[in-house]
Amino acid sequence: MSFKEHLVNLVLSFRPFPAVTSAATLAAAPGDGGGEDRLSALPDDLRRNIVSRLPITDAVRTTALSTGWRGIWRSAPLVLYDQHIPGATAPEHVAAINSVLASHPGPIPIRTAHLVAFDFKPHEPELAEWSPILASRDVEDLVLITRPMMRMFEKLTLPADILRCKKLRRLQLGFWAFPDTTNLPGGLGGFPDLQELAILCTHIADSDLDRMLDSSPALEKLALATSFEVPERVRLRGEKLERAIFCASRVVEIAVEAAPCLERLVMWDMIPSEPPGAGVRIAGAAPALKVLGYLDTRVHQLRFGDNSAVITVQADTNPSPRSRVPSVKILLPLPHNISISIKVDFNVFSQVRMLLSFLRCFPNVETLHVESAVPDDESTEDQNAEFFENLGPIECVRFHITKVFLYGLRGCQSEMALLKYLALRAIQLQKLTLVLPYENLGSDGENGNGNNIIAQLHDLLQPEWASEACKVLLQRPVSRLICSFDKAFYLSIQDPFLKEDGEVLFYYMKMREHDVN
Amino acid sequence: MASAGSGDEKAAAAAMITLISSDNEKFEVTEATATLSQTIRHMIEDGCTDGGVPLPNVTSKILARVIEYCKKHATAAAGEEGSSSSFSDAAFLEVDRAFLEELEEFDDAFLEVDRATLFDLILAANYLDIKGLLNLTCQKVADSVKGKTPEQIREMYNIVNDLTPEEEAEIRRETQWAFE
Repeated sequence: MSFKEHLVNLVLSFRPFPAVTSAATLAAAPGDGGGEDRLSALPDDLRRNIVSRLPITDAVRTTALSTGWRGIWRSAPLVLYDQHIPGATAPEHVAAINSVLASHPGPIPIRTAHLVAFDFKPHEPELAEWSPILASRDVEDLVLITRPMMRMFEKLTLPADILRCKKLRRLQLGFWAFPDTTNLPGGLGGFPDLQELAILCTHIADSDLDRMLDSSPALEKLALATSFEVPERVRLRGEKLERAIFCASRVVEIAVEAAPCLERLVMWDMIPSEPPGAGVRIAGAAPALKVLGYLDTRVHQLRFGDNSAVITVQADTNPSPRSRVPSVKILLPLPHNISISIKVDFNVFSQVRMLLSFLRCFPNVETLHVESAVPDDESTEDQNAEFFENLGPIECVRFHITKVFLYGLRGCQSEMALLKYLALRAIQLQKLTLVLPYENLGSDGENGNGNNIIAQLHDLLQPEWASEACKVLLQRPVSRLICSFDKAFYLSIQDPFLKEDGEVLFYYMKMREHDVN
Repeated sequence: MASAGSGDEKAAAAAMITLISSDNEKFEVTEATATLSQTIRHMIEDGCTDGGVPLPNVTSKILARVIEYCKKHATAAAGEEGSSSSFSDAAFLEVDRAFLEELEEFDDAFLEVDRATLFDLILAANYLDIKGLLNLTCQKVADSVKGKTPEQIREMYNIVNDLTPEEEAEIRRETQWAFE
C-alpha cells in the first residue's frame, strides 16, 4: 500500500458510522396485508421519517410510487451520503448531487451531507455552488473529504462558505487547506451546536484552529489526524470538551488549557518534531482526565504550567526527593481511576528513566499501559540492573496501580527489570498482562511462542510479590493497533487502550505464600 | 435533605400508572416504564393520571406489546445511568456490552411481527411519542424498501400506482440516475 493510500484509508476510517446504510433486510414483515395499503396511509411526517432513513437512491425512487408519494421525499430533511450514489466516476457523482440539490430545493433543511467519494479538484465550480447551499439550508452533519489524486501536499482550499454553516453539529474535513479566517468578511461567526470537529490531513493554521475552538462552545470531541506542518501548537480548551484525539501527526505542542470536562487526551503514532522537543503541556487543572496517552518517550516532553512558569519533566538520572518535579501535584488535581499509556524504547536507558519520571507525575494512575517500541537500531543496552534496585518509591506504583499492560514485550533486560520492580513494589497490583510483539505474530519459533519470555517469567515469579494476589498473563497480540483511535473518538464507555485478548500462552496466579498455605 | 430527596425518588420509581386501551383493558405499569412515552410523561406532569390514562388510539393487543418494549428499555435506561461511573473498568465494560447485545437481540425479536402489527406499532409509538420504538419500527419499514424498484415496493405494500404514464416518465427523467 502506498503512503497516499494509507493516508486515505486512515482519513476515511474516521468517518462516523452512517446513520443510513444500504444494508437491508431482504423481506418485508410477513404478509396479511389484506390488500390494504398501510404504508401510504401513514401520516406524512411518519412517511418522511421512513424516507429519511433510506439511502439517497431509494429515497428518490419513492417519488415514483404514486401521486401521494411524489412530494414526500422533497418535504423530508435531506440525507445524502454520496457513497450510496450508483456510478463509478466522479462526474456521475457530481451530476447526481446536482440533480439531488435541484429536485430537493429547500427550504427544507439538509440534515446530513457526507461527500467523500471523489476528488473535488476538477469540480471546484460545483463545490463553490454547493457550499452556500449547505450553509443556507442549515446542514447539521457535514463530512467533506476530497480524494487527493496526484497532489498529496498541494491542498485544495475549503470554500469559506462552509464556515457559514451555523447549524453544524458535526464537521469532518479531509485533505483540505482550511481557509484563512483572519480577514473573513463578517468574521468567523459562531457554531453554537457544533459537538464534533475532525480535522483530517488538513492544513489549518494555529490561529484558525484557535478561532474554531473559541467559536464552538458546545464542542465535545476534537480529532486531529495526519497533520504534518500545521497546526504547530494546539491549545485545548472548551467548557464541554471531553475528548481530544490526535493521530499520526507532527505537533510541536499540545497544551491542556481550560478543559474542565476533558476525559481523554489520546495521542497515537505521533511523529517527532523537527527540531525535537514536541511536548504535551498541562497548563491548568484537568479534573476530569481519565485517559492519557501515549506519552511517547521518544517524541514527547511532558511539561506543566502556563507560559510564565513551565516545568519540563526530565529523565531523572538519580532520583531523589530533591530532583523530583516540584509542585506537580498542586498543578494536577487529577481524579483517581486514571489510565495512562506510555510508549518507550526499552533499549535506550534514558527513555526508561523518562518513563519513570512520567509515572512520578501522575500519582493516581490505576491502569498503566506500556508499549515497548520497536528499537530504532541494534543499540547495545546499557547496564541498568542496579538502577532499578536503587530506585526510590513511585507514588502511583506504591499505592494505586492495579492493572499493568505491557505490549510488545521482547524480554530485554530493561523490560524484565521494570516488571520485577512492579512485582516487588506495586501493592495493589491485581493483573499483569504481557503481550508479545506484533512482528512475531505468526512465527512459531523461539520468538513467536514466547518461550524465551516464559523462561524469564518463571524467574520473575520466584520472589515474594508486594501484592496479595496477582494474575499474570502472557498473550499473543491481536492487532498492531494498540489503541483504536476512532473508537476513542466515538465510543463512550471504554478505556480506548483496553483491547481484545489474544491467545493466552502462559497464565499464572501469583499468591502470597501465606495464602497458599 | 439528601436522604428525603432520595426517598421521594424511590417512591416515584415505585409509583404505578394505569393505562387503559381502546377496548377498555387496564394495564398497570411503573412510572419508569410509562414515562418512556413523552405523551404519558406530560400527562403525569400535568397531574391528569388519576383514575387511569385512557389511550383511545391503542388496542389492548398493541398496548401489551408497547408495554413489553417500554419495560425492557426502562431497565436499560436505568442501567446506563448506573454505569456512567464505571468508566474504564473492564468488569463493568463486559456487563455493559453484554447488556447492549441483549437489548439488540430483544429489539430484533420484538420486530418479528406481521405487517399489520408493525404498522399499528408505528402509529402507537407516534401517538405515545416513544422515540426509540418509533425509530425501531420506521427503520424496519425502511429496511424492507431498500434496494427495491418502485414496482417491487408497490407490489409488496399494495400501493396503487395512480400516476399517469406521462407523470411517471417525467419523475423518472428528472432523477434518471436513481432509476438506472
